This record gives sequence, structure tokens and C-alpha cells, in this order.
Amino acid sequence: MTAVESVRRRPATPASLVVAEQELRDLWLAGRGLPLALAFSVLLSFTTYLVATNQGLNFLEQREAVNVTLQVAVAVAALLVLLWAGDAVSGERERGTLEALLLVPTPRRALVVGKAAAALSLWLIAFAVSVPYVWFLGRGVGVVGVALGSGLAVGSLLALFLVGLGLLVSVFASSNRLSLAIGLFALLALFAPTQMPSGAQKGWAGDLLLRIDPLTAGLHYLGKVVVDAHGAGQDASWLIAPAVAAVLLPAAALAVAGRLSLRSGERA
Amino acid sequence: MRRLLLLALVLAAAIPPAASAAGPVAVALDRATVSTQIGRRFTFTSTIRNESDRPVSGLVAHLNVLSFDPGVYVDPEDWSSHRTRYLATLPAHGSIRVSWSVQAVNSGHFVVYVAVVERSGSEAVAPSGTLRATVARRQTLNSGGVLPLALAVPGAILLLFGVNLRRRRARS
Repeated sequence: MTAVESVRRRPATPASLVVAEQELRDLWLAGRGLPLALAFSVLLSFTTYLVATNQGLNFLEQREAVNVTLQVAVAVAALLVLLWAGDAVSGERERGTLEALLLVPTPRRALVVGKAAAALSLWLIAFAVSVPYVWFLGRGVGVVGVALGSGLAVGSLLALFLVGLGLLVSVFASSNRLSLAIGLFALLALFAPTQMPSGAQKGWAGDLLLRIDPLTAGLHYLGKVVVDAHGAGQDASWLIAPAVAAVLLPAAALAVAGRLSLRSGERA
Repeated sequence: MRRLLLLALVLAAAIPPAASAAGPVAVALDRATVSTQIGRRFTFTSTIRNESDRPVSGLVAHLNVLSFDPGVYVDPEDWSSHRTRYLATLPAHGSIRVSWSVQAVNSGHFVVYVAVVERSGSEAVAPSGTLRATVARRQTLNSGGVLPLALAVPGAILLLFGVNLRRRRARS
């Protein structure tokens, strides 16, 4: 059953819920959700095995091992969310299924909300998969609860931000290839500040760049909480950019969702 | 012989933890030894005393950590993120107590001490006595258990994937 059929068969249920349910079914029961989760778990298994078998781990390095695993989990889950959201509209457009979807008597924003829910489910499942790895590395140094709590908070903000970004690009992109290319380029650009030499990160300009980039700021916050054992509120200012992006980008995606059209650039 | 031994013990107990002076200030620590486990925090207090007849300003106290084991790399920043303190003016013969919180990051035998310098005036460094820290190992990570975990999680997802695939094939 497609999203189109689902909406038509259940007129009393809010359209966004029906679309979300159908998208979740497509992703997790009939689609690529489980293979993606499998690939994600293999990556985390590999990372965890490498850091855990290092016999020279001291106390501080064990916290860093938790941080590395958590950051890999958040970053890769963010990538999955962005890819899925980037495919949401442009993929339907390219596969020729968007026309049928647009003919459904439901607000176009409801369609986009449903697709956003499916993309966000990828983050939630990825987080659930990462829990045993974080627990294994963090037990004994009392960092499991902190790591999981901060990871869930930061990852959720970043997932919302990237869902918004992916949908925004997908609504306007004429092809799936273009949508994914723009999304990946944006993601690489967002990761770039983490690769800057530490000297360039000093000073007001470097600090500002790290703080306004939601990805860098979010991962920096995780490091402060997990490795440096700072309190959750001590470095909360680093969460401003992820929080703002988590509100603005989905809001922008919803705003342009009303203009969703069969071909990119056309007005609905 | 036993009396001599007793006298030596009494004298040793009466001697305060090592203090040292250079220039107008002397620095003493409230303890000389500490035994702890890796990852645990411990605190100690240094007392910085102005031994001169004039006030001393611009004093800077700095915490240092070193290992007796040449194979152990010590990064003092890991042990304490707040290692330098800028002190208020000390009146003549006055003193100030500064507390330090330290986290034992490596295992082994270490020395922790505080050094005080003047920003202007005397060029001498006033070191405290040593706080000898013995840090015991604590096995926090059982790396032997990682392989079952690394195989179990992807295995469980693979199982779900297989069950789902069978269900879909059975339906079609």
C-alpha cells in the first residue's frame, strides 16, 4: 500500500500521521531502514573493537573512547538522516511517484511532515543501536548516563536541523542526484571547522566559527561533557547554534512545503 | 632500642609536611602522601606564607605533576584543568590557603607540588614540599567482552532483517 492509498483509505486520521505511518512502514519493513541500521552497527562494532582492545587505555582515554564512539554515532546518524530527507521529495519526483502523491486531498505540508518523521526515525534507531557500545565503553568510569543523555539531546537537535536542510533542498532540487550532492556538500562544509588546526580555532574568529556551525558546536559540547566531565549547563552556550538550526531549518522546510510542485521551481 | 625507635616515630609524626621557602614566601602542603585509584579525585591545600616584613603582591601559584616512572607520560592538564592561581596581595607575615582538586589520570607513583613565583620582584621560585601520590590500577574496561558485543548487535539486526525478508516473501 502506498502513501496515496493510505491517505485515501483513512480520511478521519490526520494526513501527516497517515503519511508518517506509511513512510515508516516503507522505511523499516519494506525499505532500506534495516540494511542501513546493519551497516551502522557494523561501523560502531568496528570502532568499539578498535578502541576497547587498546590495552594502554588510561582513565582519561577511556572517556575519550566513549566520546569518539558517541561522536561517530551522532555524525553518521546525521549523515543517514540527511540522505533520507534529501531523497524525500526529489526522489519521488525522479521516480515519477510525486504526481500521485500531490493528487491526494491533503495539505502538502502534511506530506512533508510525514516524510520528516520517517527521516527522524533513522536517528532514533541509530541512537538505540549505539546504546550498547556506549554502555560497554563507559561503564566503570561513570560516564554512561551522561554520554547517552547528552548524545540524545545533541543528536536530536542535529537530526532536526539536517531533516530540515535535506527537505528544503529536496523540495527545490530537480533531481535526486542534485539534492544529495548539495546535501553532502553542505554536510562536508559543516564538518570542515572540526578539521582546522587547533591554532586556527583560537581567537574570537575561530571561536565564533565553531560556535555558529551547529555540527561543530554540538560535537564540541559532547566532548566537554563526556571527556572534561563538565556539567550539562556549564557549556550550554555551545547548544545555541544547534537549537536555533533545529528550529529554523524545519520551519523553513515547512514554509516551502506549501509550494511543493511536480517540477522544481514551479509554483504549486 | 625500642625506646629509640619510639622516639624516632614521635619525632617523625611531629614534623609537619615539608615546606620550603625561596624569596619572601614559603609554601606548605597539608598532606605529604595520598593513595588513590585511577580516575578518583583528591584534594589538598597549600598554605602560602609571606615571611617578610612587607606586603607581597603579584604572586602566582602553579600546580605541577611528575611521574617517577620514565615510561609514564604525564600531561598535567589532564590531572587538573585549573593549575594556575593568581593570588591577592599577602600582608606582612600573612598567609593564604589555596585548595587544589586533582584527578588521578594514570596509575603509578607521582609527585605533586606547588610552586609560587612573583610577577615582579624576586626571581626566586618557592616550591612546596612534595605530595607523593600512589595511584592504583583499576580495571574499568574488560576488553575481552567487546568481541561478543561487536558481533551480537549486527547479528541481532541481521536476524531482524532476515525475519522481515521471510515475512515479505511469504506475503508475496
